[in-house]
Amino acid sequence: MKTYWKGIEEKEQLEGYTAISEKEFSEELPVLSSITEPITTGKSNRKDFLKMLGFSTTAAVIAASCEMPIRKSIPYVWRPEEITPGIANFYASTMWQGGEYNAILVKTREGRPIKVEGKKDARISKGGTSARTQASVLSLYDGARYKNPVRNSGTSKPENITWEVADKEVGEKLKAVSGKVVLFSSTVISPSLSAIIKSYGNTLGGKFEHLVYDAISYSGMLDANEKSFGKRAIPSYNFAAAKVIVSVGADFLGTWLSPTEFSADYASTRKVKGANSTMSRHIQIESVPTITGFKADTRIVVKPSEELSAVVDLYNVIVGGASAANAKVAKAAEELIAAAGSSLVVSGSNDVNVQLLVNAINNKLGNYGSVISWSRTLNTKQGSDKSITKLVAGLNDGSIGAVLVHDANPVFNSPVAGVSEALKKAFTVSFANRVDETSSICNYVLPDSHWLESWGDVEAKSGILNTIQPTISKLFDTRPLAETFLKWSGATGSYYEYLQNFWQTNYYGKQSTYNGFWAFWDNAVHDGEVELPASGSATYNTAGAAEAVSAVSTSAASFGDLQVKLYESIAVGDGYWADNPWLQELPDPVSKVTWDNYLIVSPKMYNAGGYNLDPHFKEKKYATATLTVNGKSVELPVVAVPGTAENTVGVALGYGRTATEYSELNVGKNVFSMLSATGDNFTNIAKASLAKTSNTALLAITQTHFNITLKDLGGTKTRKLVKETTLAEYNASEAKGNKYTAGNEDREHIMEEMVTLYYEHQKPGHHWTMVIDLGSCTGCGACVVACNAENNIPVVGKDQVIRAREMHWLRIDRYFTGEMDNPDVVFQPMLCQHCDNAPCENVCPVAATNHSNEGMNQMAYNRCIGTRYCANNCPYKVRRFNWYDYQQADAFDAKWHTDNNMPLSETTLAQHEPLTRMVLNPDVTVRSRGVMEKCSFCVQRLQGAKLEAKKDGRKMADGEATTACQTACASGCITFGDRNDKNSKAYEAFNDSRTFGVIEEIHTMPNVLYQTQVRNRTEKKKYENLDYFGQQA
Amino acid sequence: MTIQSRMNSAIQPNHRFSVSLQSIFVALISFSCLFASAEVDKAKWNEGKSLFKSNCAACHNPKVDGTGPALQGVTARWEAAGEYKGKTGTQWLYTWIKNYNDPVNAGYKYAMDMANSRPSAMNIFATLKDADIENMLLYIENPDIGTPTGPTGPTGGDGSAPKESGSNTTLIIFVFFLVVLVAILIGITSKLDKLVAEKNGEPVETAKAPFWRRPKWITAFALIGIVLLGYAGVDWGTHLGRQQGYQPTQPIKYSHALHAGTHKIECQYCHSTANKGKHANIPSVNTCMNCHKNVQKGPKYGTEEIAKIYEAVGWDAKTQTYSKEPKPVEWVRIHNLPDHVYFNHAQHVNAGKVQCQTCHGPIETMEEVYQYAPLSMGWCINCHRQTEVQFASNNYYTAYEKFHQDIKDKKISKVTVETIGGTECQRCHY
Repeated sequence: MKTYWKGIEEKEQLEGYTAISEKEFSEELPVLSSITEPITTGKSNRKDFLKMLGFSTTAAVIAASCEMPIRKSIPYVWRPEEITPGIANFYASTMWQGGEYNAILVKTREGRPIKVEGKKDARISKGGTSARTQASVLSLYDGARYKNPVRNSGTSKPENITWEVADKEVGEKLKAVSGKVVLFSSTVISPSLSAIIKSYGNTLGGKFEHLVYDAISYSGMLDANEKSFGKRAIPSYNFAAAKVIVSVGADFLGTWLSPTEFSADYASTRKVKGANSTMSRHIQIESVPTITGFKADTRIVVKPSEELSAVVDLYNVIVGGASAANAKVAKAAEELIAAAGSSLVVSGSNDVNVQLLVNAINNKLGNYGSVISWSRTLNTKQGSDKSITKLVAGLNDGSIGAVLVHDANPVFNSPVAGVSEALKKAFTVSFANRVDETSSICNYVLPDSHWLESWGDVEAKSGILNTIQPTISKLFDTRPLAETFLKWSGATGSYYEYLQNFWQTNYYGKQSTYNGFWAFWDNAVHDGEVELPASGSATYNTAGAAEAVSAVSTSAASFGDLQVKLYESIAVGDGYWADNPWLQELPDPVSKVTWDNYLIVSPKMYNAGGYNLDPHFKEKKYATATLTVNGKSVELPVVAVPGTAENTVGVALGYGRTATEYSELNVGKNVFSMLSATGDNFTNIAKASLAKTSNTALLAITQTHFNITLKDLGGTKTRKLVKETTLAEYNASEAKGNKYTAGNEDREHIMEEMVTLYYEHQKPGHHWTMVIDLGSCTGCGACVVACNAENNIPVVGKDQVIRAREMHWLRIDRYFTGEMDNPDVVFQPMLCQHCDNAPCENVCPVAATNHSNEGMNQMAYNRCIGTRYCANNCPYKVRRFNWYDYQQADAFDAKWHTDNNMPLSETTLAQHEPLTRMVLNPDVTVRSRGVMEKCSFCVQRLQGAKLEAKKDGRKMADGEATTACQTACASGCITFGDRNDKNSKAYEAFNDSRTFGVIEEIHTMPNVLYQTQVRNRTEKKKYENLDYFGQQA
Repeated sequence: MTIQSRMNSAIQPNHRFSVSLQSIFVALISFSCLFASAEVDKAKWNEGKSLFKSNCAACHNPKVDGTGPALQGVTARWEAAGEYKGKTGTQWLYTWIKNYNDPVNAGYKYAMDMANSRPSAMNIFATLKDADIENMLLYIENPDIGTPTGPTGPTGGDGSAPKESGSNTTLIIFVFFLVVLVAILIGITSKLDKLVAEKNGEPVETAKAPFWRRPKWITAFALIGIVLLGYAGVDWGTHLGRQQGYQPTQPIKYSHALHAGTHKIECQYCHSTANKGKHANIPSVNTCMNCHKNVQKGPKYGTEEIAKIYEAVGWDAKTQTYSKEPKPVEWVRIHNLPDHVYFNHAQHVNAGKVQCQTCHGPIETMEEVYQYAPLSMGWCINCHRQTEVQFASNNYYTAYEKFHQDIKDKKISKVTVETIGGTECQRCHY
């Protein structure tokens, strides 16, 4: 048994696991039988070998002797002043898509957006990004985008029409409609679009209604705030100011409200340095594991219904002064009281009563004004669950005659049944820019332009305004929604002019920085953000709190034994992102599953329920079960995740999109119908029943891929891959939990073995070093997707992931430790360690991988002949082999792959499309079939930064060279820089007492280092006194 | 009749006798011309021409109307405009050239008319001295006194490029030597064999097959053949995809010899991004129009090729507006690198201060551009081994403390691109 394990397979050292861990590839290599079979069998002989040799030589000669193609070089007729071919331009803009807000910089090359970066001075998102933000650029080049307005008569094929025809026909029909005209949308946070919608509504008179519905709903919280504060809004949370955080089922680092902002604030309280360090204390009470729970100092595992009673317990202790049913929760309450005024309680429940109690608790603790502020409200969630009920009722009783759908997909993500049938009764128009379930049944689709093609504004927090600016000309014949409404309201002029006028009228006067509107506007667009003085306030009243206690207690008792919790997945959200291949292939941080949703159960339940079909982990088949909630059933594979509450099933929302362009994006099952009505709102926990079926399913789980196995690595006293300590221990001795510092026994043992036959690589100039703080890494996956975008990493599809052939250069290893029912978890981003003494380098027969004088392990694709020796010899397992030509680097086009029955999915082959290829970074080679690749430390960015300094004739500044993963990280856990520069942050981090190298005892001398995770708790540590092999140290 | 043609007739002695009368007449006219232009100071005229080219030629031509009016006779026109406020017309012209606002503000009528005659205002040339203007006017009034100019040195650089170090000759000699050696050795051994056989009293073959049928010779030839063919095959293989000397026909007969050679236009005037970014940039057509709005006729192809520019950019020469549909020029790319090679012009031109000619050859003499260098990896690497970086002058290299110390300690004499890692894979392949 090991102290740290990636999954049950490793913990129990299952036969199948050890077998694949010892091998480089999880399956046998697909080599022709004539080669593998011994000559003595008579099936193959020397002649066959010669035949093959002759054939391949001839083929190579024929291929190589083709004439060189004539390449054209077509310059601009008029070169735009700001475009220098080959140099990227960055434009400040804002992403507001699928409920995700991020202030960003858009990187464009020759007028083509290829990547987004966090805007470092952003007031809300604070320079970080999320995986969804990073992936959003891919949707610009999505083949599923509508290319022009479409008329869908329902009977025949949808027809393409012009905007003139569309405007005319839709205008006439809307005029003729007898019932109400409803605009059904998710939250609109563009002030100018809201105003345009309002004025358009006015032209229709009383007939118009705007219904706002968020599929991932915060309606209960908004309703509660309306009762408690008289404002149907969400206040600002400052996690940086909270000393004690108690979160009841709120995944605030992953999905809850504003995770990018919260991650940055939260991380700022978690980076310890030097003696007398302080940290926030974070207690998570939850049923289904989340990354937030895994980062918590103390994680209290309860059943979904007990998440409700935990809030009652907290209320009883803190507000009522009574006792709590759950002793652990009572202790948490005491800690909150002790930190009153700088503590925070949050709950992920959509039950208005639960949120009323949370408001009462925070008010009693005096957290309003210090940690929670009403001076600026968070506007990103304004939907009401009543909207969807109203819509369906109105359509069914005929009071709604027409529905306009904007940024919403009610057919897919409504908890109310019969939306599709109801919509068919009315005249429907969708503004979707990509095919979705709702747009495909609407009478007209008037495609909105992609946000990267449009002007716009966003007010995510009241008084903090962001601008959206187009970074590419419209790719298709689409029209921004605002422009459509302006046109329909009879306004002349473009939306751009409207936007400027709107800002002049509404915001210019409120600021004093700029004199003259154009100076103000130009700077607003340039900076992408304007901060106006905060003015909001709200006073608490206890309305409804007392009644809420009994309501929640009654509710909590009603769920029965087996309960389900529906959660928002980090990757696909409410389903809006489910058609994004980058996000589908991003392993879920908690379960490490890609391309699917599934039923999460505890390991105990997994074994007891007979779901463990593969006890030796050889078949890698997963049993499926039918989950029934409120009479609705879905059949999904069952996955065991340590830390899940007993008798609890977790399922991710947002999967099961049926109307996607490619069939394999239609993965998983849609469980939105399982949200259950609680008062006016829909909540995500319910009574459930689970029945095992006789079916099995294949799941693409990356949990056991690329294992670091130390069995044959030599050395006797192998250390742990990840290191942890507690704050008290750290303050007592900084080296505790790490033992890196000199004079330390452990470190000396490593130094003793630092004897080498190889000469030491000199680094006369730069010595690039990356230090990753395990304490603040939340495992969210933003870095993984950022790496995909920056380095042209292909999507390989579910089938290939099952074969452990995912191409991600950066994976996030997740290590459990402790008991199965409530383990501690450490996330460890694992990428090429750029070893100064790299095992991969000396086994390459053609020297395709070798060492640079800047400390980097270089990979020359054009030299690689694909022996894969390097991958086999890499102890960190970070090298990836191109089994196919995933992005058409070479002559192997999509047709070749299909003609030759290569098992590549449509999504993968779509990467051969010219449209999709527009997202490729022109500075990075698109790798061909048969070559090895791996993290390059974003060498193109380093070379670019060096060149800028050379051009200016100056020394490079610290922080000038960055990697994509580093800039993507919301919690800033990655430090990167030149270790030779004694004033650099990288030098400081490298010499920090928390810093260690993974398996550095085998003398790889990695240039990627990690920092010990520190937890702020006094409980018994789960990792104490055991070495890697579980022996008492 | 120009000096040029007069000289031409003078150096063709046969003609002198064949067309006597005509030549006398021509000679007379020429003489008068010579007399007229004999007063022109050649040095001043040259100075004036170069000043005109660098300051005025973008908008003015002595003989043709462009953005600005045709200038020949300008002195006479201003002089004829008369005296004002105690200054002659010519004096006002000098004032105008330095800053056109001055005579306008002073209220000189002719200047005011001139200012209103064109939509675009003239630039201000405050730094020009009276002597400069005098020289320029000398050129403007006598634009056709040609000084014969050949394609001379470009705007810098001696154009020496590192050649791919060829070891072919050595290798061939070596192989030849081996062949001879093998032949001699075979001869010796067979002789010895024979001798041994004779000594032992064994029967010695007397009637021998011709040597090409003897196994030893066949083996030797086969071996030699394999070595030679193998070498040729590898050599041919490595040259696949290389296009040294590639000189495709371009859609416009643009002459670097004329622009960079004769007119000595800076390379980076047109290839303006060479010191900024990855691409040197084939100039967008609007760059051509900076001059060719004015220069409407070329020395070789007349208006034909320049008309193609107008067509590309949508310029209507009659109305002097960009009123037509632009059609981008589809140049044929000459210098092609494979996808896996990253080459950055700024790195070489700006940071490395490498001359264009080092890689592109004597571009200023090329009527049509061809690929001068092999653009092979060996060629790149060779240059990286030999070329020094701007180690002392560029502060970027202060990061390389060790080498600075080594230079001080006289351990090394220079820092080449290779020294700082310029021959490593990931400097060009990523």
